[in-house]
Amino acid sequence: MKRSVIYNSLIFISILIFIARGLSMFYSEIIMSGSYSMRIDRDFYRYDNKILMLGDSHSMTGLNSEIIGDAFNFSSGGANYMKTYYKLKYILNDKPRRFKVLIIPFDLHSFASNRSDVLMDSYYWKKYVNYWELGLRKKNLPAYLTEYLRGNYFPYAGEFGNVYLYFKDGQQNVGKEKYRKVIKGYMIDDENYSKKDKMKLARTRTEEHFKGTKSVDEDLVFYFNKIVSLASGHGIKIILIKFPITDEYYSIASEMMQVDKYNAQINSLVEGKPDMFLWDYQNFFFDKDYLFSDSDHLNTAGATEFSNIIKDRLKSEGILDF
Amino acid sequence: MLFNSISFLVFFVVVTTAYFLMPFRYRWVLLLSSSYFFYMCWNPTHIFLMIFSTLISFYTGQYMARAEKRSTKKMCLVLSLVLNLSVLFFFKYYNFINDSFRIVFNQFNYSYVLPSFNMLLPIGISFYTFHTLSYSIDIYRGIKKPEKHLVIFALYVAYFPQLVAGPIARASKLLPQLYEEHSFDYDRVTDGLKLMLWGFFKKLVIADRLAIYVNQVYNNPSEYHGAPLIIATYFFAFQIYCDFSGYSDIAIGGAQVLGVDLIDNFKRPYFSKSIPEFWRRWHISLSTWFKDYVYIALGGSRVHKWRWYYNVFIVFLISGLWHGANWTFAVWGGLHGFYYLCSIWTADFRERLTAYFRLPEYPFIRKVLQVFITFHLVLLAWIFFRASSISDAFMIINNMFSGLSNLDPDSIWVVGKAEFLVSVMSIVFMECIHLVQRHKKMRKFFSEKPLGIRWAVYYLIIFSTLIFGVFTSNQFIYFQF
Repeated sequence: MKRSVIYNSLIFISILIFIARGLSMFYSEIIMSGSYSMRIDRDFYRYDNKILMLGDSHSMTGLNSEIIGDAFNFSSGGANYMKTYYKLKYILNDKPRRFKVLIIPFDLHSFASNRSDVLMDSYYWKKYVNYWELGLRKKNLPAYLTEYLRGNYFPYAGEFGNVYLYFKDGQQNVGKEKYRKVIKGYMIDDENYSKKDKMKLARTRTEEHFKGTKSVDEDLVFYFNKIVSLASGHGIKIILIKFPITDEYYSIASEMMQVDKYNAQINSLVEGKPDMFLWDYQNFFFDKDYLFSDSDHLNTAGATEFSNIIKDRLKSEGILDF
Repeated sequence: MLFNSISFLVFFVVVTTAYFLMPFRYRWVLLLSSSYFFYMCWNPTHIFLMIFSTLISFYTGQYMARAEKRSTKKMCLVLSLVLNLSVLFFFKYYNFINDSFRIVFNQFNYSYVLPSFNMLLPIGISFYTFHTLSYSIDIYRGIKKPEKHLVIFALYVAYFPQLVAGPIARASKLLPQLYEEHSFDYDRVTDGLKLMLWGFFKKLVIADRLAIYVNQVYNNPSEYHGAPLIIATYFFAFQIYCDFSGYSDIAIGGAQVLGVDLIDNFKRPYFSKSIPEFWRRWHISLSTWFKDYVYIALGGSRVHKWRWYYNVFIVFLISGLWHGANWTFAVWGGLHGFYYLCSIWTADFRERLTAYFRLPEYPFIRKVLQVFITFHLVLLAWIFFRASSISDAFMIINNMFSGLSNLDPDSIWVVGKAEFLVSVMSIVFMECIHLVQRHKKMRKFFSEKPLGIRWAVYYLIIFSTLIFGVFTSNQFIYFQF
């Protein structure tokens, strides 16, 4: 092989890597820095509170950190127990923190198998998730390593939508969600479910959560137990919340899964553990559809009412006495 | 292992590097083992079917060559055809035929109890079966001598660049190349890589982005009327072209890197001026396969004219069913057969019509009209190809022309304005490239430019593919066949 061929190939690849790194930094540090995930992330490391809320959009839109007091809502949309575990692990390894109470969702869809393979938003999760470990656990190393590469080197791959929005509207509009105000991680949502086509919305949501899935996925149970071990190892109390849902969502979900069997199965994960509390508010707002933004997410009014309930219960049960 | 995955890129780099570093006499081991590994990434057990097909074809070929009597040769050929086609039939068509019988029997209130089998269709079975069949038929016809080495023959059947979706290579073309010693040739390797890059662009940027729109509309046809259905149909025509020709480009480019030339599969088919021409430019390796091994076997055109019409129609019908075990594919094939026959029957009438309108004096307008009409005939047939059922296809055709007065842009975008515009722009970009390529291949055109310009174009295509591509591991449409 000619020397010039090797020389040219090396220069070509070097320029390629240089452009790729530049684009990667531009996407992660500039385009996506306005996304709610990144804003919350920056906020989190500025505070140090007694109560930490983790989990998915149910906790993100359902618990107002300011009402609960001395709390930070560090939930992320679509975060399953795997991601929650890695986030918790990262936080605990990062530096000593004050928090001794962890609140996470324990909902009908929390263990559903279609949540067990959430490979997305790697530009954000690359910091937390150990893709190698997860790939081995899931017996799908190529997919998880691809996600690792994507998060670290090609976060813009396939994300033309965000690039377009950035150049069109600036940072105000990027990310999966449109620009929304967040208060210490709690995301404000002013939609009103009662004014929407409720049955259609509930069916769409339940199908997203339950259609063709196994109600209890072994990998999610495995990572849930890891969260429990990790938290108890650090003397952290865990409060599992079954978040309020609408009766439409509940009734359609009941057609798609055996709710009683599911509850019995997941409740057994909690039994006999003194530092774990299971608070069930699933049907608490069945007759108050105006407190929801869709069939299974609380809106601002709902989050206010619900956060006050949680705050009072935390006090009355003496959980914050430490 | 999909071509459009990181796994494949890693696999390809490793195999190519090892290939050129390895002494020539061991390369077949590498190629065969990597081809089998490539195939087993989908379903390891299905490799046994391919090995079965390989052994049957190899040994019947050996016996055929040794046999002196014509009847013995014929028996070997029949054995090869029956065994290979039985496997294909069982895995691909059994449930389809069984279900069709069940429906017919139920119509007449007869009970029908033959069970269905819940089994996965082995990837690429239609393609490698055609490889083995053409090999057996060529030996029977005396066109090809039997391959002496089983492993080289196994490599011909399993050669990974063309294993799962073609191009369908002929033994006479591919087998000799597997014996050749290919040293590293910079121009050939870079030319192959450029073709692969273009294939990735077509698949990831055009086909997969168009698929978002098409899937949304075609999977919920009752929810759309008018413009979205028409646009989705146009989009599907380009989606399937970019999906399949993108795959072919990656396959041909990959083989070229390894020193093997595969047959071109597409030649700008949507610029065809007639249906017969379309079939000379679309999925060329399959069209020529059917011509050589089915059409000619049936007598071709050297028979009574009604028999000739029958031969044409039956070839298209089989070609349709080859694509999939569904009546929609049969209708698609049948429709093309009908078009083809119409083009024969109406040849004189069309000549007179063009003369009447003095079109021969305006060759450009004539050509545009011919291309326009041919493209739209093909488009109509694609509706049946893409629809989930025949009733859905008719519903789509019916709903296409209702609600056309409502041209609300928000209802046209379907999946977002930006997505829509990128889809349209990428089609325009590709067709511009096609127009330029009429005279000179783009790869050749750019290879003559200064280094800076060449590299700038490569970087542009690489990063456009990364930014505008869709990376959700979408399968190639033709993998299901």
